[in-house]
Amino acid sequence: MAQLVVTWSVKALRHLDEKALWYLANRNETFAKTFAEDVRDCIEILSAQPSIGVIRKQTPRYTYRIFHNHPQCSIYYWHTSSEVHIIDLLFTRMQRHDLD
Amino acid sequence: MKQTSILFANYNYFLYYVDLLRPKFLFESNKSRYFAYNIVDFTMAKKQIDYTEDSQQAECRSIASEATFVAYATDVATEDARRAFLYDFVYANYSHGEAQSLKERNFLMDEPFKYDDVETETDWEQLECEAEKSGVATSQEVNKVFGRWLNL
Repeated sequence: MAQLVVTWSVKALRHLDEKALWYLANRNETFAKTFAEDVRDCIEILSAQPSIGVIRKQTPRYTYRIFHNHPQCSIYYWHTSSEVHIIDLLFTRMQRHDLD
Repeated sequence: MKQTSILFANYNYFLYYVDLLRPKFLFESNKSRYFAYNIVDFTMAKKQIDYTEDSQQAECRSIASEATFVAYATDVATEDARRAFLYDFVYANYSHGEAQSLKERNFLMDEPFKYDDVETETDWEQLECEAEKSGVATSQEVNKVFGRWLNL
């Protein structure tokens, strides 16, 4: 399947960078590296199949979706037939059912 | 006799494989890198010893340094060692301005993890608006950030 063009907002990229640095500072190198690898792999999947995310809203031009990369991290993006744009990464608190 | 030689042969193979694994463990793990930093700290501390101390002080110091060394050997990185590591990393990978601002924030050490509480429709709109205002990152910027973290 053809992969779509992936673009990042500067805010999403900064957010990714900051969280990876937080992992490096407060956990270790493996945490930070694994986090970045997970996001990269996820984006690759999304670029091939952007419709796997949950629809948040639809406009005539774009479809906004959320993809849960991890119980704590979701990727918020919109896509068209030719492009996937990463709006932001969302870091949410783990819910009880995620921990069980 | 034959059985014994087979056992020896297996044991030698075992040692061979252990030897193969050892360099990987010593030089490639993250722990060993922290450990190397700590050793530097330890030797630096040793050089700063004041030799005018009396025997009791010296004994206390040696006990303390042994305890510290055990902590190092069991790979408990001290805060200073972590800070030194982050200092090197940040100044090598970020622009000077960014590195300075991160230094003011103590390289995010012990800073609470920030969550994004996006609940209402206004929050979502604000988030989209901020992302749109920040602009689109170039492919060089994206590669730079991923390169920084994937090649740790």
